[in-house]
Order: sequence, then structure tokens, then C-alpha cells
Amino acid sequence: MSVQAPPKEGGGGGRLSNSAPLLIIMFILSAVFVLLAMGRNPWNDLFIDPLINALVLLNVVVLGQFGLAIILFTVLLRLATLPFTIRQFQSMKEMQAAQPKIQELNKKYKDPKRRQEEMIKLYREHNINPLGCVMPMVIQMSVFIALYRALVFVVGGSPESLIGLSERLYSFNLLQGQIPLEQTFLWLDLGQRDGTLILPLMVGLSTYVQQKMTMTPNASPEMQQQQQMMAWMMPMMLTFFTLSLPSGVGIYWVISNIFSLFASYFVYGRRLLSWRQLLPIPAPAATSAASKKAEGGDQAGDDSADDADEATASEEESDSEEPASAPAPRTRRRYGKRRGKRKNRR
Amino acid sequence: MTTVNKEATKILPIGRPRRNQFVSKLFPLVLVLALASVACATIAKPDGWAGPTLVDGILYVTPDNGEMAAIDPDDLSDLPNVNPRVVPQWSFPATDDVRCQNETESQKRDLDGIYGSPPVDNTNVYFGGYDGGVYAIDRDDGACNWFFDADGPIIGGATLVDGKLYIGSDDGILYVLDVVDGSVTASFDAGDSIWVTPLVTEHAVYVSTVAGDLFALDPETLRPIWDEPFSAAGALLTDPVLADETTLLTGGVGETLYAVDIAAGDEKWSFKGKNWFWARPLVADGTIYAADLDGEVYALDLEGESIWVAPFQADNAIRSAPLLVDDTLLVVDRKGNVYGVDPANGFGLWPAPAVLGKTVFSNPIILGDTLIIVAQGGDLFQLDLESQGRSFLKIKVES
Repeated sequence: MSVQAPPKEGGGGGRLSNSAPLLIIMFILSAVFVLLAMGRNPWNDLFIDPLINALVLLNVVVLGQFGLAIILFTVLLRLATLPFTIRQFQSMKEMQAAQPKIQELNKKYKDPKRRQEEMIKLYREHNINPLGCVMPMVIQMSVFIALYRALVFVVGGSPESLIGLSERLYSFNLLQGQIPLEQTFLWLDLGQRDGTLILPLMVGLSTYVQQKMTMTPNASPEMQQQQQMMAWMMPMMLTFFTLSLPSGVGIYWVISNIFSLFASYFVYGRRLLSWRQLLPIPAPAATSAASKKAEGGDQAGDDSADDADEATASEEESDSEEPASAPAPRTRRRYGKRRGKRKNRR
Repeated sequence: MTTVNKEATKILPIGRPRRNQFVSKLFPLVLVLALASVACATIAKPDGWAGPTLVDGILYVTPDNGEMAAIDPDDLSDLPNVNPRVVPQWSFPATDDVRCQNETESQKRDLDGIYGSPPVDNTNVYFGGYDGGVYAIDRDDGACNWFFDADGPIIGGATLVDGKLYIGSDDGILYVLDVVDGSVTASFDAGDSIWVTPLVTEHAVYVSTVAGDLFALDPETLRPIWDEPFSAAGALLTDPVLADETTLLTGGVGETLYAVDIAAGDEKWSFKGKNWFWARPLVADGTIYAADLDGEVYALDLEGESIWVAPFQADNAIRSAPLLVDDTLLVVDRKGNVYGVDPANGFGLWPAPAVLGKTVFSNPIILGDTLIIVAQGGDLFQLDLESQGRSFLKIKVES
């Protein structure tokens, strides 16, 4: 009874948006080659220096509060890369929707070549770009590293760092007049690590929530394992790193994560913003059993199917194709007894 | 076909999961490495760039971040070429906890960095630390005679005149301290951070701020002499110096060196460089030698006109003040390249610069026939001037 999503019309626009990252990469590569030929450092000329000057310029806008300049910069940057971010989430959502079929194909076709062909066909049908999430991540990571380097120069926390800044600041009175920048923001010294642990914890918490919100619930066991690992590892890692990074970078992470939460809300809707999802309760075996039951009609003949696979697959189908059938029995199986009692009490 | 399929089924259970596992583990690993590489780059610490001071045959240097030491210059002669080391007469702080005489109990001393060359009188060596403390250290044994706590880091140096110590702080206050006990005899709120060493003359104290204001103050009361402070376009970072009896030089972030009339505080002329001026200008024989953070050294007359056809170009930024010895202008850039320049025309005199291989921001001094340079981190370099930069020693000062 599954309803297949119709192939999308108007491929022209899609092709254009698909080629946008490629065009950007080609443009950046050309600029890199030109700068290398000129004997300059492309990383500095293309990323660090413009970033530093943009930050100082924003400092003018926010009347000398550099902490606000970082927040404004983060919001503007995330707005500029919003199409990529939404595309990333949409790609994840589409991938999520296609998971049952992908797993079906995995089981159905043993010949790798044939399987790959079918996969490509499936991706086309669902308009999935398997690398759709790479570009936003590359942008995020590049900006993060560049911002860190920029902050070391801009609010390096020492007079020595200003000497490095002098080589990177453009010769405009508007920018030069801002030096040295205000280093304090709220309780933070932007060029130094936050000794109070508040900011690292905020970074960890916001990263955890963000990871949880964007997790694909019905991925393959390997992917699930990876997601579970990342859901814990990323926040812990970033908390740890924020302990040793300038506070300005921590502010960037927190604001960026909050922005991602809004973006995911925009794509996934309210469904994912449930507090239960944030709780660190791993999906128990019962889930898969329940799902198996729920999904029994669809995949009854497939005895060799992996339990977890089926569980995730059923959840996916419930999300994309059969909204009413799957979630109810699953929750009943997990919490059935207690809920039943509550129900009776009511 | 059947055979192929069989092979495929044979391979799949072994090959695919392994590849998936590899990819799934590789991604977090790459992420960890990327973030770790960022985190490993440490936050720049305020190391300080105090240059050495030579007084009464004793050399006062900063052998490490936030440390001051006294060295007998005789100990610097006849050092071995391999791994030369010198043991100072004393160093401060000698232990983690030190009690100054005007304190009731010992305190942990972490000065972070010392930025100004220390003035010395018959009793004490005076300097401020990035920790906001002003220290008077006994010049004989390194004991702390008194300590004054300013509200902000001390990034400039102190000036000692007639038993008074003039020192500015990042909190924007210029303090005048009694050298006997460190008590504040006068103070002036400049409104923004002071990062320079005040210039004290018979008639006035000149001090500038990072807001770009230059003040002329009464030496006794610290009341402003000018109706309005001189205002520059950007932060003023160079230590103010007198070009002649009526002109004061200052410069900073705006890439401009200013000549200010000391009577009224008006601009006489200005000279645009290629980058910020942070090195203290040198005035000798009616010529101003000023270096900027682009590595250019300019020679100007007292009207602000260039004397050389073209400025001397060093490899890197120059924060260290140029020095004139006999007929050689000595210039040290950030990368630790030491140049001998002809003061008449700005051409290089030495066949090649001495390459110290260490970052240098401090002002060098002359000790006999040698140039003494303190690099960031505390290494002491002794460069033989007669060798024109070909011979130098990197001396480790035991702290």
C-alpha cells in the first residue's frame, strides 16, 4: 500500500541548484591558482583576511561590541548558506524516506553492479543527492577553522596578536579606527577561554540537541551506530575543544547550532522537536520487534531481514508513506503496560 | 552468470560491511583530526617584549615570560659556542609565592608578560606586568620591596624621574607612584587603555591612549596642559619621543607618524607609512628614523620630508626600535633578522642580515661591541657588531 513519490518535474532548476556548489568550488579553485601564481597565500587572502575585515566592519555596525559582531556575523553567514543547509536537511529527509527501498534493493540484488544501477535509479526517483550534506559541512568546517584563526588575530588576547592583525587589516580608516577591539562580552573575554565552563557547556548542549534533531531515525545499523556515536562524541569533543579555544569561537558554535535548530524545524517541522527525542535512551530491541510486527505485511516473506533494519525501515515508511500505522504499536509495545494503566486511571 | 553471482554473494558479506565500517569510522576520525588541529593551535599568550636595560654594569633582562633577571655582563664573555648558558645573579619571581614588603602574606606571582624595559635606580628595578602589578625589585638580591596593583594589565613601560615612577595601565589610568613605598601620589584617567611608556620632561608628561588621544599633563598634578588632547585617527602605540625642543613624535594604527607641537598640542606634520607604527622612532642628528609594521624604515627630516630616495625594506614587521651605532643603523625585524643599514642613504651595509631565527619585538641595546637582543620566550642573543652580523651567540638564561 505504499504510495511512491512522483518523480519531480522541472529538472532545469534542480540541475542549476545542483551545479551551484560545483560552480562555487570551481570559482574558488581558480582563485586559489591565481593567488598561488602571484606568490600569495590563498588561505589567508581568500578566507582569513576577508573574514577578519568583515568581523571588524560588523564591529562598527554593532557600535564596538565585538561579541555582538560575532553573533551578527554568524547569523549573516548562516543566512547566506541557508540554501545549502536546507538542502542538507532535505537530502537527509529524502534519504530517510528512501531507506526502506534502499534496504530492499540491498537484499534483492546481490550483484553489486546491478544493485548500484538500481540505487542510482532510486536516487533519481527520489531526487536524492548522496553528497548533498557534504557542501554545508565543508563550509561549516572551513568557516570554523577560518574564524578561529581570525579570532586569534582579532582578539588574540595579547598585544603580540595585534602585530599579526596589522598585516591583515585593510587600509580603511573605518576599520583601522576600531583597533584594538573590545575584548569583553557578557562574562567572557573573547580572546581567551571561558574559565567558568558556562560557554563550553552551552556549546556541548546545543550541539547535542542539534545532533539529536537531525538524526536519521531509520538508518541502517552501521549508520545508526555512527549517528549514536556522533550524537555523543561531537558535543563532548566540542565541549572539550571550547575549553581550550577563544570564547568567540564558542559563541559562533552556540549561535550556529541554534540557527541549525531553526533550519531543521523549518525542514522537518514540529515532529522532531520532542523532548523525548533528546533523552539519551537508546532504541531498545523491543522497538525493532514492534516495528517488525507493524511492518509484517510488507516484508513478511523476508525472513533473513535484519531486525534493526526492519525497525528503522518501518519507522521510515510510517514517516513518509503510512503515517498512521507504525508509531502507535511501537510506543505501545515499549511503554504499553504503564500507559495502559494510566489510561485506565484516567 | 551463476558463477558470477555466487562470487558476488561470497564477496559481499565480507567486503561491504568492512567498507561501511571503515567509512563510518573514518568520518568521525577526520572530524576529530580537523578539530584537534584547530584546538592544538594555542591561544596567543601575552609573552611581553621588554628589552634589556644596562645600568651600572648590570644587565636586566626577561629570561622567560613574566620574569626579570639580573646578569653580570662579564658572564657573557668567553661563553662556549655550543649551548652557551648564563646563570643570573637573581631572578624574579624566584618561587611561585612571593611576599612583597608592603604585603601581609605571600601571593602567587604570575606576571604573564613584561612589556617595558625596566628603569633602575640605586635601590630598585621597576617594571609592570600583564597581571596588572607594578613591582619594585631590589637590584641587589631580587627581593620584592613593594608591589602596586593597577586595575588593568601593564603593557607600556615605566618612566623614573625624581623619585617618581610614571606608569600607564590598560585600565586607562596613568599612575604616579612614590618609589619608596609604591604609594600613589597622583593619577590621571586618560579614558582609554594606555599601552605606551610615558615621556616625562621638565615641563610635561606626555602619554597617549589606544583611543588615539595624546595628553600633555603637568608633571606634579597630572592636570592637562593642552585645552584638548591631540587626537589621531587610530590607536597611538609608539612611545612618544621628542624630535626637537618643540616637536613630539607619536604614531600607531592609522599608518601615520605624527609630529605634534608640544606647546599647543596641534599637528605640525604627519607622515604616512605603509602600515602601523609601533616601534619607537629614533631621533639622531636631526634625522628621524621610523619603522613600520610593513618592515619599512624611513628617514625623515624634522619637517617630515623623506631623506632617503626609498625606504629600507626589511623582510618582516618591525616593532623593535632602530638603533644607531657609529655609522650603522641597526634594525631588527619580527623574524629576528638583524640589518646593518647606512643611515645616509638607507642602503644595506652588511652583506646579509643576521638571522636569529626567533621572533623579536623588543628594543635591543648595545653592550660594548655587541648588540644584545631579547627574543620572545626569553632567549638572549649577543651579536658581534664587528662581524657585521656573521657572528652571534644564542644564550640561554637559566631562570
